[in-house]
Amino acid sequence: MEPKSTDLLQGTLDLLILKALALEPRHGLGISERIEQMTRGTFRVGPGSLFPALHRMEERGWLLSQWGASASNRRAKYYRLTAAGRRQLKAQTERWGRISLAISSALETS
Amino acid sequence: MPIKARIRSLWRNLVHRDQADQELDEEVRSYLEQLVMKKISEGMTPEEVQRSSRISFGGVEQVKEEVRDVRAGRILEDFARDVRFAFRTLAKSPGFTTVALLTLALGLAASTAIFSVINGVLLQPLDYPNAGQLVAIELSVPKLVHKFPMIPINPAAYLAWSHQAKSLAGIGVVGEGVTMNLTGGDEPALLSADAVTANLFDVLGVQPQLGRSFLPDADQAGHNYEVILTNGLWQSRFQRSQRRRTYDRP
Repeated sequence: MEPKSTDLLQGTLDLLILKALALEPRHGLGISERIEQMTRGTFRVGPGSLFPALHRMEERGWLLSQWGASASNRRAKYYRLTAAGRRQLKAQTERWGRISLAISSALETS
Repeated sequence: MPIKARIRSLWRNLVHRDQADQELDEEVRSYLEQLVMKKISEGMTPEEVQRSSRISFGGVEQVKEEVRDVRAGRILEDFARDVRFAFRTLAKSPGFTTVALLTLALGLAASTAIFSVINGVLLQPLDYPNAGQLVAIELSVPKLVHKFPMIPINPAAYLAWSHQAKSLAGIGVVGEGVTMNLTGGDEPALLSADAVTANLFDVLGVQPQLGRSFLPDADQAGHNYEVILTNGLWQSRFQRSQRRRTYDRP
């Protein structure tokens, strides 16, 4: 069965969020900024996609959230990776590498 | 998905739903404020900021709804809401609801009654020890089975079985019911009785509560004068006075 386009997108977004949190905990806006920065502006994640993804991943045990003070001294919810989240990041990165390699070679053949 | 994390989320989503909702609200609004501040610091005018953030935002409530959609416990929440709605709808048409409830009650009562009978008669084991090893033997003539499903056991068949059956510990026979007169003492009474072989209670594996069971030769001609009373008869007629009684066949 073909994966739905939403599933594909969701998996990609999860990977980007995991990567964005690899170095340090961030809050929602920080995550979407980091993703925009990492993808050089290609991906701009809106809150309608970001927050459901964050909460879903937290319920899966990949992220842990904690309230803290932002740079401008506002209350914000910070997310960080759990050990399971790091394992997910590694696994999904490898998987993504395989997939993109396969698709690239498929597109190169004439 | 790890079970502990799932259960924790479920707990938080259902029991602390208001708190979780409030936190979500605060989180999303904080995001919005920070976004606005960032745009202002990048040089947008307040009106431009307001317009763009509303568009790119899609409304705080909408975002919260999206988050709720993916939350664990959503199915239970929806179910609970549907149940409450059903109650309200039923309350609006009391006549229909009454008829429906009465029909359900009647159906339930009937089913319960039928099952109780079947359970007691067919499903529950008999109250004898090793009831699973008790079997009933019937005699029938194949050609007459339609008119007479069973025919009475004749003594010759019984004796033959008793001597030849290797897999049965014993065979007891219960005869047709007879009526007997009870005399001597209070007013006479008509009793119903079953004539049985002396070994019946041994086969069944039970002993009378008072007194002894039949002696082995109690069913032989000339020795068959003993009776065993049921508990009911004993309590109603004999328990108070322990006098002897005589029984006569009419």
